Amino acid sequence: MGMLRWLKKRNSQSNQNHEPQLCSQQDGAKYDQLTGYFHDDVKRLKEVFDRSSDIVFYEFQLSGLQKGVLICLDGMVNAQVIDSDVMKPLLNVGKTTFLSEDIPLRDMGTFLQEQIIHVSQVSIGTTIQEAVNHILDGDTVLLLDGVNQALFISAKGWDMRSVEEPATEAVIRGPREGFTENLRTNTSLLRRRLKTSQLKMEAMKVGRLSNTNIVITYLDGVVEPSLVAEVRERLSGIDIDAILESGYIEELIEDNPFSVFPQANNTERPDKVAANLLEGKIGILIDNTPFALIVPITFYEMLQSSEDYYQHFMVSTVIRWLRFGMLGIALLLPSLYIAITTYHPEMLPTTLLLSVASGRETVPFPAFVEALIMEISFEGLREAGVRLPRTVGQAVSIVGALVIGQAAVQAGIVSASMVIVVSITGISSFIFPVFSQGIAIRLLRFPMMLCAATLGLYGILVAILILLIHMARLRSFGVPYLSPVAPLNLTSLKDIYVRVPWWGMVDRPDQTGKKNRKRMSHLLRPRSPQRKS
Amino acid sequence: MRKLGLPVICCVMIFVLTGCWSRVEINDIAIVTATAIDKMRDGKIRIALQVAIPKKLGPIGAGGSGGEMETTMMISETGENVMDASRRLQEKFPRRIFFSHSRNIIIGERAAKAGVFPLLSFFARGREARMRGFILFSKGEAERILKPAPNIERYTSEAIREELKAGIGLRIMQKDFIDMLMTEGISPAAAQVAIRPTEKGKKNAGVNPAIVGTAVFRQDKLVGWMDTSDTRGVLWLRNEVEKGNITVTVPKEKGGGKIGVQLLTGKTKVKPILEQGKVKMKVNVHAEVELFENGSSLDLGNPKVLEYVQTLLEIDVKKRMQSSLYKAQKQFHSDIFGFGNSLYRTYPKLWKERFKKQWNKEFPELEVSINPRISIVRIGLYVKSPEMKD
Repeated sequence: MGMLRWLKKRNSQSNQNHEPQLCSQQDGAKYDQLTGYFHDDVKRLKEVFDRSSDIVFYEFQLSGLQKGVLICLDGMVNAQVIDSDVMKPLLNVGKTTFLSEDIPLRDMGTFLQEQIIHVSQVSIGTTIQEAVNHILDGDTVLLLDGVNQALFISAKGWDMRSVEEPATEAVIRGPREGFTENLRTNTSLLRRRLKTSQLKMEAMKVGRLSNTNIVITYLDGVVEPSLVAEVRERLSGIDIDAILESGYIEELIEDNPFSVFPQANNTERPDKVAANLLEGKIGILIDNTPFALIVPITFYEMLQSSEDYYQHFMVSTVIRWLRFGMLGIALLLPSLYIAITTYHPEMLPTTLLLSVASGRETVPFPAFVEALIMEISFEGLREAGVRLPRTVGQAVSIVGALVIGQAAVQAGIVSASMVIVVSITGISSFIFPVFSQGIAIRLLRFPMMLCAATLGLYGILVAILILLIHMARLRSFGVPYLSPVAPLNLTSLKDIYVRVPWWGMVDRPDQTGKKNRKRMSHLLRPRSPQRKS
Repeated sequence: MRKLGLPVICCVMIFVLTGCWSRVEINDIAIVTATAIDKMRDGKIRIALQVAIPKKLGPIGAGGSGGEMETTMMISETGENVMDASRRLQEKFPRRIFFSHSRNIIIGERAAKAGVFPLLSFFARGREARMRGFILFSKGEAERILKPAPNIERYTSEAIREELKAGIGLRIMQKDFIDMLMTEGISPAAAQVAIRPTEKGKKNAGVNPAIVGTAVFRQDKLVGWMDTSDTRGVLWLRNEVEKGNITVTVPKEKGGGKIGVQLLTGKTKVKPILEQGKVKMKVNVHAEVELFENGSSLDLGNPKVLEYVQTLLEIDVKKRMQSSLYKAQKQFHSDIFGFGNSLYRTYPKLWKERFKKQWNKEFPELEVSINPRISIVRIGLYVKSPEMKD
C-alpha cells in the first residue's frame, strides 16, 4: 500500500507542478530546411554529430566541379554497396553526363536517384532533421553543393545474427526458424508464411532516444478492427526514452499491470505468430529483439505449444492433459504436501504415512520450513544455471545434485519424500510452453505454501479461490483471461482440453475470430475411397 | 487504488486469523496401527495400542534401519472407560496419540461379553478414528494378539488386515458392526482372531495372527464362537462367500479319492415363505466352481459323472450350512444371518405385528430349507486321471 500511495503521489506531483524534462535529440535550430549552401549544411550536420567518432563524412568532387558529401555511420552501412553502386557511378558518370546535360539544380536529386545510383531504396528529403534520422537509421545521406535536397540511400548493413533455431521454444516437429534481432528479417519470416496482401504490417516508432521500430501485424479481414485500433492507441500512447526489449512494451500496454500472469504472449517462433494471426490476434514485432508479442491472449493458450498443432491430434490431446496435470503439480504439490502432513495425516494411506514419517524422523525443521529451504535452493540453482558462464555450468549441476538430493537426505536436513516433491515440482514447472507463465506459476507456489502452512487444505482452497477470482477478472485487450472456459463457449473448447484434428477446426476461436469465422468451407474429414461394386 | 485495498487487507488478515492451531508435525504423532481393548478383573477398561516406530519402518538409509528390530511397540493403560484410559495413556507417552490409522480394533472375550457398544462409542464419535477399521474378537485377552513381532508384514495389524481381505472369515468393519446392532432382525457377528504358529506343530518358530472363526453376538454381547468350518456356513448363509475351496470324498464303491474345487461365484438368496400363518425360510444357493484337483478315478468328461460330483458338492455345502445354522439357532439363539431382516423386508406389516417383539423366541424354532445348486463350469483340459501302469 505504501508504495502504491507513493507512486500515486509522485505521479500527481509531476503532473501538477511542471512538465517533466524528457530527453530528446531535437534542438529547435536543427529543424531547419537544407539551404543548399554546401558548407553551411555540412557544418550543421557536423555540429549535430560532434563528438561521435563513428560518423563518416566522405567529401568528394563530381567531375572536379561540384562538391558532394556522403554521410553515414560507420558499421551501419554496407560499404561495398556504397563503393560500387554509389561512389563508382557518381564519379565515373559524372564526367560525361553532368556536363553534357543541363540539369537544373533542384532536379539534381531526382536525376541522381533515377539514373545514376544503383541502389533500389533511395528517397529524397529536404530537412536537416530527416537527414539526421536517416543517418541514425543506417542510411547514407548524399548532399551536393547547390542542391537543397538530400538523397537518402538505403544501404544498411550491420553485423547481425542469422536466422537460427529458437533457443527458448524448441520443438521436435516444426520449423526451426526463429526470429532474430533484425526487424526486417522478422517481417520477412512472417510474410513468407502468410503470402497474402491481407497481412498488414503497420510501422511505428517508439522511444524518444531509441527510436525503436515497431511493427503491428495482423490479417486484415480476420482481425476485429476495433482491436487493431486499441493496440495502435496503446502503443502510440507510449512516451518513454527507450524500448530495449518487448518486455518494455508488454508492461506498458497490459490491462492489469499488477497481475502476476502475463497478458501478452511472447514468442520467438514466426510460425506461432502466423498461427495466432490466423486466429484473429495481433502480433507486435519490435526491433532489436527476437521476442514478438501476441495480443490478446488467454490463460489456456499459454498451455498450448505450437507443436500441438503439428503432431497427431490424439498425441497432442494427451500431452495437453499432461500439461494440465503438471500445472496442478507445479502450483500445488509442495503446499499439498505441507498441508496433508501437518494438518491432515489421516488422509494418507497408512503405509505411505509410515514411509513419510520414517523419512521425517531426523528432520529438524517443520515441513513448511523444509519445503521452503528446498524450493528456494531449487529456484536459486535454476537462476544460477541461467546466469552462469557455460564453463562453470557443470560445477553447478554437480553441486545442485548434492544440495537437492541424496546428500541432503543423508545429512538429515531434509526428508527423502520432500526431495521427491521438490524435484517433481521443479520438473513440472518447466513444462509450460510459455516461459513467462511458468515463472508466474512458480512464483505463486510460495504464497500457496504459506497458506498451506497456516491453514492447511482450507488455506489452499482459499488461495485457489482468490487466484481464480483474480484470473476471472483479468482481461487481455478486453478478452477474458479464462475464456473460453469462463465465460463458457462450447465451440471454442475444441482447442482447449482437447485438440481436435485439423479437419475439424472449422471455426476460428470465438474470442478473437468472430469477424471471419470459417477456417474452411466444410468439415474436411478425409475418407478412404468407396469401393465400386 | 481503493479497489486494490480491500483484497490486500483481506490477505494480510488471513495471517492474524487463528490458523495453525491444529498443526502437528508428522514426527510429533504416534501412529496407532491397531487397538486392543480388554476388560480387567476389577472392571476397568484397558486399551493397548500398537504404535508404529517410524525410524525403524523406513527404508535403509532414510533414517530407518530396516534390520531385525521391532517395528512397532505396545503401549497400554487402564481406565474407567476407553476415553479415560486413552487420556492416561497420553500422559505417559511423549507423542500425540493419533487414532486415524488404527485399522483394526481387537476386543477381548471378557470385554465382549460385557457389551461392545460402550467401547465402540469412543471410536464412533471421535473425529480421528475411522469407522472403516475392522473389528475382531479374541478368546482371552486381546492384547496378546498384537504382541508378537510380525514376520512378513511390516506390522501385525497389516497382517490381520490382509488375512481378512483374503475372505477367510467375516469381514466386518466397525460401521458394519454398529449397523448390524441397529438393524432389526439381525444380530452382529465378527471374525475371531488368534495367534497361530507359522509352522505346524512348532511353537517357537514364529507366530502369526490368524482368522480362526466367528464371534457370535446377541445384541452387543458375545454369546459364543464358531470354528472355521462353521464360519464357511455362516458366510454362505449371509451371502458373503467370495473365495474358497470345497473338497469332497468320493465314496469307496465309486473308486474313492478326493476331488477339490475352487469357488468362482457364490450367491445365496433368502426367501421367507408364509404358509398357513407359519414362516418358513427358503435359502437358495447358487455357486459356480472350477475343478482344481481330481484324486479320484472318475471320468469327468462324462456329464452324468459330473452331475454326480456336483451332488456330492451340494451335500457338503448343505451340511456346513446346516451345522452353522444349528449352532446359531439352538446354541446361541442369535440370528446372525439376518433372517428376521429379510422377513421384515418382505412382510413389514406382519413383522411389526407378530415377530418384532418375540423374534428371539421365534428364531430358534424357524424352519429353514437349504437348497444348494452347484455347477462345475470348468473341469480343465485333462479330464480323466491318468491310469497308472506297472
